[in-house]
Amino acid sequence: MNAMSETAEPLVMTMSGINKSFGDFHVLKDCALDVPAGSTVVIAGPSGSGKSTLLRCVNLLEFVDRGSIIFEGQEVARERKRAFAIRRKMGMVFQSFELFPHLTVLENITLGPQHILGVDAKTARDEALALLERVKIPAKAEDYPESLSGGQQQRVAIARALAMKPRLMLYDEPTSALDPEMIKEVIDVMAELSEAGMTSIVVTHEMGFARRAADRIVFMEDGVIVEDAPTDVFFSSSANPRTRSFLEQLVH
Amino acid sequence: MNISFDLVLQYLTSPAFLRGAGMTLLLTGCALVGGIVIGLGLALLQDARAAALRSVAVAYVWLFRGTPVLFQIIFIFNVLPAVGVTLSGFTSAVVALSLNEGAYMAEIVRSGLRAVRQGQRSAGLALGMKNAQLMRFVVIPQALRVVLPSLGNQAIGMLKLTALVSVIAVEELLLVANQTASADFRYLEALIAAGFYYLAITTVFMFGQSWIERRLSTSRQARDKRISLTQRLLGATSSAGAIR
Ligand SMILES: Nc1ncnc2c1ncn2[C@@H]1O[C@H](COP(=O)(O)OP(=O)(O)OP(=O)(O)O)[C@@H](O)[C@H]1O
Ligand SMILES: [Mg+2]
Repeated sequence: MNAMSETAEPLVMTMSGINKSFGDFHVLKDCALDVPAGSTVVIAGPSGSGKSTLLRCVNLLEFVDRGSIIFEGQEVARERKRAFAIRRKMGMVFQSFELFPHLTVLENITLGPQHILGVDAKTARDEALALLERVKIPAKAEDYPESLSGGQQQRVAIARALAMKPRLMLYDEPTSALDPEMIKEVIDVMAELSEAGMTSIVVTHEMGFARRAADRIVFMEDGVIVEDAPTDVFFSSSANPRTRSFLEQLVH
Repeated sequence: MNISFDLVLQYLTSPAFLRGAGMTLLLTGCALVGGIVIGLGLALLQDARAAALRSVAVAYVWLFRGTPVLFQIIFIFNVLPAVGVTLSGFTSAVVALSLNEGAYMAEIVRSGLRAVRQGQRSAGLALGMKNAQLMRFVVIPQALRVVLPSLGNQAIGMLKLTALVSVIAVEELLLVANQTASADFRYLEALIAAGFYYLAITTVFMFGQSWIERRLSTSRQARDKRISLTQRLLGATSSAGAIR
């Protein structure tokens, strides 16, 4: 059923034959990934397996050596000159939040729409306040990021990305810098967005989030996509020995 | 020796001294801006990929830090005309002071740029900023906060350096005081008047700097904290960057 509905949806992003090296170090090896509209794909895998690099290649913070990335029907893998315009259509959330410390929460969110997309100040502000409601921190608009908890900062970072009205959200281990009691508040926001149909790629080891929100789970190791399976298959009957041992470690 | 306070007051309010103080301020402002622009250029050269460009920056800093400012001022005013470049006293002064300041500013600019973490740049790029937007909205505002104390020190240092250009007959404060003194034979009063202006301007700079620092601060605690004038004075008169 999952596979059927997936093929029916158009692909927001599809990549194939992706290879990327840093010097002699071959980080991504023939990676391929389809992301249908409205779906959430979780990427998991051991440290150093190339998950962050894969995400950074998708939004052109890194450029692939070989391979194709088709975003909204257009080949973008080699669009160095237009990379900024393509990035405006993707939101990215970082492990270390990366809110702009010299701007208030509200200014962090309105900066993109107002100064990059040219939305007028009033509209940008209203939309930012609505987004703060959505990520459940409406009372902090005038505060500076440093006075917020990690969980709050990450939810502001999500709001900042959403303010650009992205077609695709990329999250790189959004909860791994957080204290355990704050992980849930961030995951809840992300899961609600996924349930509302936001197309997302999420690098995470939070299997609770994966079970709840992911349509598919991709397992990476040493730059290779080892497994790409629907969520229920991944958890119940993955035949891949790598995946199994990874899951056992997580349960442990 | 008796001192006439009336005369001091008369000097302080005279158009000549006011113009001199104005000229000193103008020189300070122009040379600082020039120094920042040159410093930015040098900072980019110093971090350039090509080794040849990096050597240019090193040679520049070596040249301008290794010779006295007074030498540079006299050189530009007196020697350049021989090769067909004749600049007015004011222009020579601004050029010489800017060139010299740039050699020191480069290090300050670099420390500011380095203080902006790579992740911040990634975040700006991920929002779809072009390079110029990244500079304007992310890098420069954060770098500026880091270098502001050093910039304040440089501003005060520059104010004092401008006195040197009296040797090429630019009508700044010290030259005015000197001329007035020798015309009236009243050195004490004329120099007190000039000293008063220097101290007044320095003091305004210090308060201005502290005000800007508090305005730009993102934490309430720092906004309420004041650095005392003595602390600033001691910091500013000792080696650059003493206030951190
Ligand atoms: N800019 C770079 N230059 C050189 N090597 C890099 C660069 N970025 C990443 N690497 C290397 O590529 C490999 C994959 O890195 P990547 O960050 O993509 O892994 P990851 O799966 O995200 O790991 P983690 O779970 O630790 O975040 C690592 O060995 C890393 O050291
Ligand atoms: Mg990573």
